[in-house]
Amino acid sequence: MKKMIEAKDLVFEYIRRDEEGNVDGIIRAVDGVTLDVQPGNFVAILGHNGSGKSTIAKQINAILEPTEGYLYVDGKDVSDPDKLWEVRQSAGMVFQNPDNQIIASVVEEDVAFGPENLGVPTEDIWVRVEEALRAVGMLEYRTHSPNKLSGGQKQRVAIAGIMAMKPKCIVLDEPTAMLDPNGRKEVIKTLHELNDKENVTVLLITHYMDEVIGADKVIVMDDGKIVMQGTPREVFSQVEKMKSYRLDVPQVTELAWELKKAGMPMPDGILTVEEFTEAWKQCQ
Amino acid sequence: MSIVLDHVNYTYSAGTAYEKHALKDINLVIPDGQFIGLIGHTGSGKSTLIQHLNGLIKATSGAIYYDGHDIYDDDFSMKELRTKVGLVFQYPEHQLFETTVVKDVEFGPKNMKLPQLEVQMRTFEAIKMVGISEELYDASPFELSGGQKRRVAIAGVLAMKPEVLILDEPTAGLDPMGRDEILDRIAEIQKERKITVILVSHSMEDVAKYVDRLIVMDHGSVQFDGTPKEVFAHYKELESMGLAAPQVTYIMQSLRAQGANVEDATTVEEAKEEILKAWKKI
Repeated sequence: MKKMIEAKDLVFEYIRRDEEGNVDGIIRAVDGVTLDVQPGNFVAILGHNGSGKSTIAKQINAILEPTEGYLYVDGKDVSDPDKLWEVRQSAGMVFQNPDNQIIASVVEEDVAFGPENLGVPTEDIWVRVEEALRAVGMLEYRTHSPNKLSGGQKQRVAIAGIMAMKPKCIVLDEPTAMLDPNGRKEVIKTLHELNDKENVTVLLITHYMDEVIGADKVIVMDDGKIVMQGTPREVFSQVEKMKSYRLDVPQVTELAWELKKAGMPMPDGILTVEEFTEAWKQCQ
Repeated sequence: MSIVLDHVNYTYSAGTAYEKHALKDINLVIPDGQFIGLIGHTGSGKSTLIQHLNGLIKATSGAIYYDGHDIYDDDFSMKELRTKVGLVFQYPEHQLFETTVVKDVEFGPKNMKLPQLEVQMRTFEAIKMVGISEELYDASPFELSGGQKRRVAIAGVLAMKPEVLILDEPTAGLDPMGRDEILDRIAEIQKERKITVILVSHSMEDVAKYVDRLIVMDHGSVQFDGTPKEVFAHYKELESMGLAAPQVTYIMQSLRAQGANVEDATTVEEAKEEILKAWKKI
């Protein structure tokens, strides 16, 4: 099966230049990343600010070109200038601030912007807009003004705008950082639905540990490198290691770990309140 | 210094199609030295409320008293109020503009027309307080990391020595460690300077860990006002307002439903103690 994302020894360097254009400093933001994402996977990337996760996201969307190594998105080389638009159509990107991504004054026009630019025939555009808005649960707002929507709703409109371009993969860079708890839940639920029903590959970058519990795979980045990867349970079982990378674990995982340290026979890697309650019963 | 809000109402775009009653009959007493959390979903009125506290928005009706003085009195100095009530907006690093960290932080006290020596003392004290190391004093604020930038921006407000410090989601977009570092600093500063801190947050875990008092806004009104424990006991009502309780609160509920003899908890430490107490009794 063709891989959705395939990176080998990927490097990206930000080069800082002085006023004369001489190289003043080089920051290696991505440092030898090898990564495979299978179609239909839900992958979460964790890492502290400056660990390189956003740089990778921008490389997948061909906003930044790899300095070394190679990166294929849906079999297309992101370094090939002729493939630029195909890459971007395969992997759509959603950013942190919903207000920076919405451009039209009516929801459905905003969603139509992407397919319009791809030259999709008008009748098809409306079909796609309707499907995309339905997929994110925003169909009833199609004629509303985006200004009047909540943060979570705006982000779902932004996701619909990407979905209308029929990408195989969506990359989201901290899509919930500016949202309230309800907005966050809405967005994460929408992503899982798109992943389950539309079989879209999801690559979610986040600082909220509780948002990655439902992922198939979690990747932890530090200093431009992948330092941990596995299922959420495998990754969150290593509480101390996570903290050493300036990260955290969900409260329920931390509580179980603290109790274990205090002598209670709690298993590692508890991820939900239900699992915690079960484990607690075993301790009685 | 205490702030009293007396029947404060605010209506946006009154008389137009977009009229919105953003604050409805707000009555609050904010005494000296309290660490207060303010939560509510987007559009609940939190931001409108905090902008009233330093006079950026004028109430449509009702009165606000700062240290006993009506802030809407003609002879009340709004300019002074804004130095006493320091407001750190969301993403304050977007407001950095100077060429060095020191210059950026001293902008506030300089504008207060303080003597040069006082400006310098306040600047260095504030930078130190937020935990920015000396080698960064002359760095461009734009070269710093996200967390450092945000600390410099907070220092800019601290340098004005506000009596009340209001922070609108100071940890949005920061990694977990960066989040803890900033909040730990703010908690220390609150204790050291004995100032009032109002923390607007979407993170229930954070407010539970740090604040003495929690105010919940919904549809422009204050819905709950109490200790985190008192407020989070109403987790079902909070959920209907688009909020939630910290995850440990749900754990304790679930254990109690199974017959465990544990009290409510809002932080991991509290929950740990409660569960261990119950476990050791067996």
